[in-house]
Amino acid sequence: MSIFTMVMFLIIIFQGATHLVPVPKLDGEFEKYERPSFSAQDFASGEYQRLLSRFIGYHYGFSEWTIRLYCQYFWSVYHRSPVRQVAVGKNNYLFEPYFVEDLYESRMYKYTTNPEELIQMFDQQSQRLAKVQAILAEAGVHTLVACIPGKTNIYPEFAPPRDTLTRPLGPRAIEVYPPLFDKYGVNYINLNQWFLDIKDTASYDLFPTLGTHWSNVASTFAFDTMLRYMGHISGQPLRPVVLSHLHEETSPRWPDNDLEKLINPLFHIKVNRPYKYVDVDYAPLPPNVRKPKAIVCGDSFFWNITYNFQLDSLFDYCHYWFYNSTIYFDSLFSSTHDSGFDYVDQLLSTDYLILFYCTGQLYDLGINTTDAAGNIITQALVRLCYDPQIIQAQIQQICQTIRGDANWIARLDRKATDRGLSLDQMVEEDARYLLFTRPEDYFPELAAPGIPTVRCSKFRNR
Amino acid sequence: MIFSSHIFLLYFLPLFLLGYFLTPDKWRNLTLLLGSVIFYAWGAPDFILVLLGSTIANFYLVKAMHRAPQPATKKLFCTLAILLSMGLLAYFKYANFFVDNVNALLTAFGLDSMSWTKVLLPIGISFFSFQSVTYVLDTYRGINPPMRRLTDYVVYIIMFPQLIAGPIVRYTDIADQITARRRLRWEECLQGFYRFIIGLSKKVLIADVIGRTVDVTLGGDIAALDMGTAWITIVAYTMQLYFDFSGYSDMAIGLGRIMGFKFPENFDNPYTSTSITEFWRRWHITLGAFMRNYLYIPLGGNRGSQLRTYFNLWIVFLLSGLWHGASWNFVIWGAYHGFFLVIERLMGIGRQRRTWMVLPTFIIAVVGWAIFRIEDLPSCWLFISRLFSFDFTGFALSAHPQFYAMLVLALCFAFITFFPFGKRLQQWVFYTNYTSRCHIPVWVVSLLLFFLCLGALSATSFSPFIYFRF
Repeated sequence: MSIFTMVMFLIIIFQGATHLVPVPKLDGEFEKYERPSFSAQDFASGEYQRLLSRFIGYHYGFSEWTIRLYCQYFWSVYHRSPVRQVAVGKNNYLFEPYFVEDLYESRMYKYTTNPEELIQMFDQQSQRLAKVQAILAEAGVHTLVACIPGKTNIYPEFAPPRDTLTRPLGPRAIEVYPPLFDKYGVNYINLNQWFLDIKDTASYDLFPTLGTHWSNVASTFAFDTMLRYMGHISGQPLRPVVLSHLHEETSPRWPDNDLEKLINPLFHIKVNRPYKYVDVDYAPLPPNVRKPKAIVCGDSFFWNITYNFQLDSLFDYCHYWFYNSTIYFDSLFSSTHDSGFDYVDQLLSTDYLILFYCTGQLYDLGINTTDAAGNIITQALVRLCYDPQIIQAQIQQICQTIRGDANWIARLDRKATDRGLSLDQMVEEDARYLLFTRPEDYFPELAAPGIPTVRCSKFRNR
Repeated sequence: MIFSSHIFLLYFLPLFLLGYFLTPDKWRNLTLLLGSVIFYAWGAPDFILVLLGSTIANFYLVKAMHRAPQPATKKLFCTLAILLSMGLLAYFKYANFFVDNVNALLTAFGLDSMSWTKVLLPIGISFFSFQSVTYVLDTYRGINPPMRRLTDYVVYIIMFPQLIAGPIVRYTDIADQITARRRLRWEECLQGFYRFIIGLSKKVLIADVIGRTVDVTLGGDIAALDMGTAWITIVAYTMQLYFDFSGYSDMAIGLGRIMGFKFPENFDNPYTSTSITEFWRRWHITLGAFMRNYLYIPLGGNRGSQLRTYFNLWIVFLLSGLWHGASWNFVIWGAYHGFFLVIERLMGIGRQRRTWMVLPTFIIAVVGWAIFRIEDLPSCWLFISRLFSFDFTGFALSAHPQFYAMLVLALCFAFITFFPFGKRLQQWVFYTNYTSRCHIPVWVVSLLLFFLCLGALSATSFSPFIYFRF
């Protein structure tokens, strides 16, 4: 038995080195750790050991099984998730914690503790969006916001207990934005409300028990509704979609169990409710109707749509700007982070600009996750109105103001060191940030009520 | 390198053991030496030369001491060897503490403080310094002759199973095993493996889990803690410390057994003690033995007046406290225990085992751990005041069910030998040679626990995202 034990250890080492035995990989996306290269200097400082330990922690032989074993133990014994990205509610309903936070406290606290301030922020963003919508409408581009439901909004009865969340409930984006959109005339479709309306009568789950995104079937019906709304605001109906054969399946289709996958148990979590799916077909394209072009800027809830619909059948193209930072142009399987593309060109050549955000992400409407200054609404507003030279001149002016302030420079100097940038780069980045987060402070025409009259030359010469 | 790491468990240990088992008996110490140097150098490459240098110097000093014909010369070499070991300990462990206190005094008197570059603490120095001292003094006292071979001595000092956190193995207890161990038997190896897994599980599945909540609570606002939260937290810390430290000792003892050594036990159900005196016979036994043999008895032990005995006891515990860490809270913790030992002597407590005394003894130990855990003295005092605040408003501890489950499990294990069946269970698990039929289920359970520990070690920082791009 001692020999058995020793052989077992050697097999683990061998598997760690060769990964010869195929083992199902862990689900979810992970930080990728590379095997560090050895250097005497790194060894002496302990850095090599630290990096190697971190690497081995996830790459030893059969690590997938040991991690799954632990996750299964955690789930089975404590009925909790071993990973912090998943919160367990009643009847095995799984949730992402930030939706739970939005249910009990609202995500307001991420931005401010003052409800008035949050509402003011949303008000300003709605006004900007109304301006962008009006400007783009001159170019024949239709803008709309799709307010996508969040799981805790639709199924609060299954949410985990309030637990550590103790602050009073603040205003929620999904409650504040729709009246503001009405006030400023922004096109929007409130699918959250639609889900609430049909919750008691729908014969299928609006959200799957083990997933964070809207269910495959519910998202399909919802998108069909949204397509009709798009046709309504443009006056050009889209190619009709035919939904039929609502049926049950025994195992879930991705991403109906995306949160279960994050838990990585050895065995599937038992669910009492059936998984339902619907077949999607496309009616023939009516004569003289062309397929429109669309840009969808939004969060991961749009992935469901890309799985369920052949977007090529509906659109000439449908670019997916995932969080406005990972751009899927021609294929949903290859993306780019290249921010070198021209916003104005892109916006002026599409037919629809759709902002597609779930209730938890609506607070960050238009956000760019990799560029703090890259909110699509302010970017579009500024770039549609002003030429790049004017924008750059304004940025340089802000840079000068920054350089004249010793405290500001000192602060940016520290920030530059932390981020490995030169001070000049940091100053320019800060100036860009200011200009694109508070454009009204630098371009008085944008602050004035009503639609700005100024346009960039590309817009004028389109 | 620490035992509860993937690199140790999955690479170093199997490869070392493979090499060790394949080495002929007479070369095994060399394999062990090589493994121990790699083990130490991996975690503290800067200090391996300090460790080896001081160990080699000590070996030759003791050799010279042994050969010296005159008692005065012997004494001189003995003093030099002890000064070398304790000098290193004093420099590396206490220099910063000393300078900080001197600077605090200078500042208090309005003087400029001394400039000083902080000294890093070589891992395990408290243990190997004490082992060196036992070697010097046991040889000086003629209990054992010195080692003939330098490599054997270095093995004794830096043998990796007990290098980092003990047990402090007295030279006289292991001298024979180093030079002439029994041939390895597979039953012994397996028993060692089981013991190692028990220790690993105590550390990874119990102590670390409990520790995460303790760290969060004590890292927060202590003033806001209600009495219930404060007690649960400190009892949890009491269990964390015990399962962490005794788990490490179990791993060391198990590893030693796999290699053919028999290390002394370091813990014997300390929380079932009925007095603080008994507690110290059951908690960190090898340190207690060291302090008794090499400090308390040389100071005069209980051979002098009663007052002198109390003084000796108190000094021993003061220094025991300081040995645990260079900070005032450890000194106070040592003095706290010394105080109760003196009280017990004065009142005659502990001569007879009284079952009901388990609870007050446990409470004294628990409050002592508060002093031990919270280095900042005002915070420590604040925490102790919260323990007795009788404020039951707003139970603030928000812990995962796993914390409570492990805490209850830890309490059960800590007190199980209070009952006869627990004693029988302990005897069977730790000290009985299993039959072949027993080995199979125990082996399977051990492997399951081992893989669970591996998973837990990865899962602690396991944090996948649905869409990483976000």
